[in-house]
Amino acid sequence: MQTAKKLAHRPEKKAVKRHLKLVTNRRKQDVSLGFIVMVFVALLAAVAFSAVQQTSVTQTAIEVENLQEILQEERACNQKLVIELAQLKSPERIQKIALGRLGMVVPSKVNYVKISDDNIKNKLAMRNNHYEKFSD
Amino acid sequence: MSAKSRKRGNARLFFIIGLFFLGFLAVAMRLVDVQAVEAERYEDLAKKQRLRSIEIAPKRGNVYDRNGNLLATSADAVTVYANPYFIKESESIASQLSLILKIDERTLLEKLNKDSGFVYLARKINQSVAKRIKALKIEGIGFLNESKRCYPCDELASHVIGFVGIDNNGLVGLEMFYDDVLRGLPGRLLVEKDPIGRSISTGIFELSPSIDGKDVILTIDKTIQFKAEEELTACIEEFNAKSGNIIVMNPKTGEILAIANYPSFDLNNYTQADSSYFRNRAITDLFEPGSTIKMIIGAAALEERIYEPTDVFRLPDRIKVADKIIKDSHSRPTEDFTFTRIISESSNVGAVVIGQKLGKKRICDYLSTFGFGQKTGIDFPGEVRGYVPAPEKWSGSSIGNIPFGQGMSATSLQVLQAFSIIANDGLLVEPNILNKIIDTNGKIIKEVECKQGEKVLSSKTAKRMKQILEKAITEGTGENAQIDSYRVAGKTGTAQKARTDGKGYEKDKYVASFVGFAPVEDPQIAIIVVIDEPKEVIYGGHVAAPVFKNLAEFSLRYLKIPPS
Repeated sequence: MQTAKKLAHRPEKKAVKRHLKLVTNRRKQDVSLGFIVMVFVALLAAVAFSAVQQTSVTQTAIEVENLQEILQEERACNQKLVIELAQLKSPERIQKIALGRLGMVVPSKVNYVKISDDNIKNKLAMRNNHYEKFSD
Repeated sequence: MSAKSRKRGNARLFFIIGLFFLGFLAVAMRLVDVQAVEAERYEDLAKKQRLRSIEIAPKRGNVYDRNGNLLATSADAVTVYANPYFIKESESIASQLSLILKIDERTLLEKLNKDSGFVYLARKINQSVAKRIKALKIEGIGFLNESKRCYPCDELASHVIGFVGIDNNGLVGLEMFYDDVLRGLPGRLLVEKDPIGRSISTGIFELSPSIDGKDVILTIDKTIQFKAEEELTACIEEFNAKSGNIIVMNPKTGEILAIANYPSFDLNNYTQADSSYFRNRAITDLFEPGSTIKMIIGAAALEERIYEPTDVFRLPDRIKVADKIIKDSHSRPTEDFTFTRIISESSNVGAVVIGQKLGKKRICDYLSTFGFGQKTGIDFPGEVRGYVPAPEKWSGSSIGNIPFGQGMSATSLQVLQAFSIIANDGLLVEPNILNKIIDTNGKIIKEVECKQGEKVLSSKTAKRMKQILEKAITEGTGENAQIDSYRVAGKTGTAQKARTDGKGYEKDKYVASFVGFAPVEDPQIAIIVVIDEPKEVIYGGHVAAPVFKNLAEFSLRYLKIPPS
């Protein structure tokens, strides 16, 4: 009876052994496949990220270039205004407008009097003299 | 899933991975080929295709007057060019551009059909015009940023400032003399561009920046310059003269406040003017100075103690020297002249008598001492030396004409410098137009300091000559130069013009001049007025002296110089 039982159990044991071997191989394969897929996905993500970044950099560069163009235009405009200002300050133009359009006239000559210390003293003395006389 | 189907799936996966691997391998091999084996060749090809080397033109420096008023500047402009190989439908493009650029359609068409890769269509046009062309988006039409010289005051000080050529190089005047300072250094930009012409942000970008030109500040005063030009033009028109020039200078420092020339021209349209108009005649043209030279003869006689101002001479109105008869300008009986009167009333006979006593060697020495026959050293191109014959080259009659300024030649600036010696108590100063050079940040790079002049005449002689020249205004030939409330000293000059064939003098052609300074007690301005070929009235006292009066009166008040 015991021998029969032993015999009946043997093939089952063998089958179990074979099955276990198979399970071990599959796990190894799954791990390496998963790793490759992960690396592939990571690579794709990196490429996508780089592409997005590149696009953004390019877009910014275009914006910078456009802004530089605007800056140049503004500078040119500023220069134009500086020149215009200098043109407006031209004495010839001012004189033409003053005499022609505004009806202004060239001022009569102004004679300046140089006041020296002696002049002031004399004037003060004369005034004091005048007050003294008046008070007499 | 059965083991068989699983096995088949794995094989497929490995096959795909293998394919990818092979693909990558092929790409990698190609990369190695492109980036290592054939790298140099491809690099060269790529560079040629993408890299653009752009010259960055420096901004040319500005020119200002002594008070900071802008006289010359540069504005951004655009140059339009074409690559005729890319031009399609040249006729319609020419007609479109002709309307915008206002250039003849045929001229444009000729350019567009040229067998060349580059042709200028219009240089240095306004930004707004360029914008209109850009909007048309024509293939084969390109644009270059350049700068264009602008002169906001048009004709003002045109002979002094000068102008630049199409490539911004100074051609005339101070633009030429200070070209190295104003021009700056060009930079270079090496940039990678995409097919549309935009720069690639991550590509090569090498910039060696341009260095802008420095600004130049002149000693010229815009207001005095304007007044000088106005007075000169009025005088030329009144006397129907051929040309003329005026210089206003500070006799103590040598600073030039104004140089006016007639005929004048517009700096913004100089191509339309005759090239003879570009000369700064006050510095580049010679004339026989006439009686203004009597001042030097007189100063030499006083310095050598040959005569005193009060010495009396009995003079006829004519005198024979060698084969020539020298006459005074007006007939008169023989009469007594003091030394002072000879100069103040401008007697030719008297000047010859003094000259004969001085002798030709001393005359030549003193003319040289006063700066004749040599350049003044002014910072301006084209200055000439003038001509004073050496004693050994004098003819028998030279002693009969050089003492009153004939038979020799000088520039207006030389004559003014000589009179400034008297104004400056015997000190000779070098005239200058440059005041400062500043960089773009306003830092002073160079400043012209007022040099102590060289003593060429004793103070005593200078003072005595000042009194004689003052007499020339109050009692002599320069009465028309008198100014209310200011003491003025000066001398008139009327010289015959030499014939161009070298055979004597023209009969009816004269140069009228006046040179003087004010106020006598502390001279602040020295002015020379030279009028070439005035008609009807020819005398310096009538033609040039009133111009001096108006200009000196204006300048003294404008400079707030107190009256005498």
